Amino acid sequence: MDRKKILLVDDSSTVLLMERMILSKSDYDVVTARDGLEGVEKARAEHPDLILMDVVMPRMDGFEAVRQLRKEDATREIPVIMVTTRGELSSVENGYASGCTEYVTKPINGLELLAKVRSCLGQ
Amino acid sequence: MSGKPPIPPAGKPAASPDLDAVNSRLRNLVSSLRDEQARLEARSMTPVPSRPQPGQPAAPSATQNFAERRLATELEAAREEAREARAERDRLKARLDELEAEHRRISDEYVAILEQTTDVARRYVALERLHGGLDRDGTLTAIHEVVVNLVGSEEYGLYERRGDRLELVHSFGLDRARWSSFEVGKGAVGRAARTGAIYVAGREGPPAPEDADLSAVVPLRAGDRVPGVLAIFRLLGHKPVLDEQDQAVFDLLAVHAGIALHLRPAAGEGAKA
Repeated sequence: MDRKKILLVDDSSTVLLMERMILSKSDYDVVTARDGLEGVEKARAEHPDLILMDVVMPRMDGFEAVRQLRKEDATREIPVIMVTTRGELSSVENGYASGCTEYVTKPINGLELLAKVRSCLGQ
Repeated sequence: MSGKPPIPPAGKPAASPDLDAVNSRLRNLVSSLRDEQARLEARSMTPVPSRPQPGQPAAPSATQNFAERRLATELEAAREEAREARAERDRLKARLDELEAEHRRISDEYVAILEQTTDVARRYVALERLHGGLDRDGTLTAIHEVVVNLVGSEEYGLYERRGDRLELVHSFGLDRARWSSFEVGKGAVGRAARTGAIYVAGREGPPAPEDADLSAVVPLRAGDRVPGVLAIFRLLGHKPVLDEQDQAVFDLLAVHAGIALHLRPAAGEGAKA
């Protein structure tokens, strides 16, 4: 089976480390970006199978980053899981309106995150 | 019947051709009568059904009897097959129940292991971040990220002890004027500074009115001293309560955030021995 590549986009080292540790139990290649802009660039360059995207980030927030990804042929189909502290309904709606595939709130629940990751990857 | 011609009576002349013809017909007649006798004798060996009375169903013939016997045999075989199929179905159902129970057990174990893994990861990340900061700002950033992303609150204050008071030195999402200081020994914040014990709202009964806005207070220890406390106010809306995993993070913060801040003092302060 091909190793899946996952792009983690978050400005928090704590979250990136946490996500890495949760995903390390499965056989994924992981690349990271520290804000939305870098996330879009990494998505173009790395062609990940899945993106975990924070919302509140410097330079470009997660909602805008997903909108950018959905505009481009090369990145349009990449599933995106929003991972954010913003759990209120309006934020969830914004997330789905921007084009995200799934929505996960922080603090991260490892079980929930892995389930959604596998679902998005068709595993 | 033998093929011998009948013997003419003694002293009489031989029979004429007409007599031969009559004789031949008689022989044929005798032969056919003997055949009929043999057939009737054979038939008399099997019971002859009585003639049905008017209004009664006709008795089954031999062919019908044979068909019924064959059907009865087939029916018994089919019943035996059905019994075996039911037994097999029961065996398979019992095996399915066993497999489902095993599946549930493995799923429960998997979930428990994943939860433990997440818990261990959370502790490791908290430790890594608290001790990874190169300076005080790095440590404060680490505390911020741990509180927001691992505990689940965007309202907290970090207080340092100055004499009998705890003064707010760093905060996020708070009304700084309202929560600028506490008296040591008073309220949940002051008591945590005095006793070094972690406070979690609701764990030991309903909170006092002055502590109603607090979710937890973590004393930041340096050895056996408590030079500061971390007061966590409202939790994120989708995080209803603090659980055992949060308690584990608080335990780490109490020891390691205190040490990290102690070793990385604010500008103008020397590292405290």
